[in-house]
Amino acid sequence: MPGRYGANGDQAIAASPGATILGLTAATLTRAELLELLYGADDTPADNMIRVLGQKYTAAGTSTGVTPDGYDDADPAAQLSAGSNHTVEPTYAGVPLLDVNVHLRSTFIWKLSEGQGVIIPATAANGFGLRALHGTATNGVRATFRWRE
Amino acid sequence: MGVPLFLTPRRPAGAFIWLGPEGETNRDTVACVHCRAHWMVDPGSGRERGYCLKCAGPTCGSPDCYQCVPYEAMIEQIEAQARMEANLRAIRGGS
Repeated sequence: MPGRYGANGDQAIAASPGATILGLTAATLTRAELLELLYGADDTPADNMIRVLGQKYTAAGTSTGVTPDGYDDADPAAQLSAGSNHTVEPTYAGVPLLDVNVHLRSTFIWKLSEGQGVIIPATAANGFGLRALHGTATNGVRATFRWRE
Repeated sequence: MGVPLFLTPRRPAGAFIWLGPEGETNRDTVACVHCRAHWMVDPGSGRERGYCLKCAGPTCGSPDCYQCVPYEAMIEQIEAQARMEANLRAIRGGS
């Protein structure tokens, strides 16, 4: 049975093309399926609509490493790596798989049915990232990914 | 208040949930069978979507998804390309 893991990240909203909050980067021999994504404001919210984009990438950029935690303590450590608060953006490719506007006073949850989740291929440096963008807002935001691998 | 039936797909692939000061909004999503992009059913939006007769499922309307490459096959192509590039690097003596 595949193990289930989660990781959290934070970032300040930036102007287009945005700043990546959390990235999940593949391992060479392990595929993962993203099953849930949570996003919300991290500090005093203002009245701004934030564009939230989830997209695959082919190079992971530079970020602060986050250790994924398993939902079952009996599972081995996660093979995929997570990174938060990117200082160098990943190289995004393809169409955004998630493109929604979320008010800063709201929390957003994306639930994906098993078998319909975003698959991260077992290819080094490939992954999935979530970024938030707005013309003027610079609030802090947080995100959580839950996946199986 | 429930979601009207015309905003709900018959086979949802997931859900978008907004939790705000004025309550919860919950909408089912449809997923593209070629790229796995998710979107909400939104009649009258003007967005052009498609349907793949081979995969028997909706497509997102992106030009990248006009050609039928099932999602699993696309993932396998990415992995195969990476393996081939690694093999070529090894043959050439690179790292």
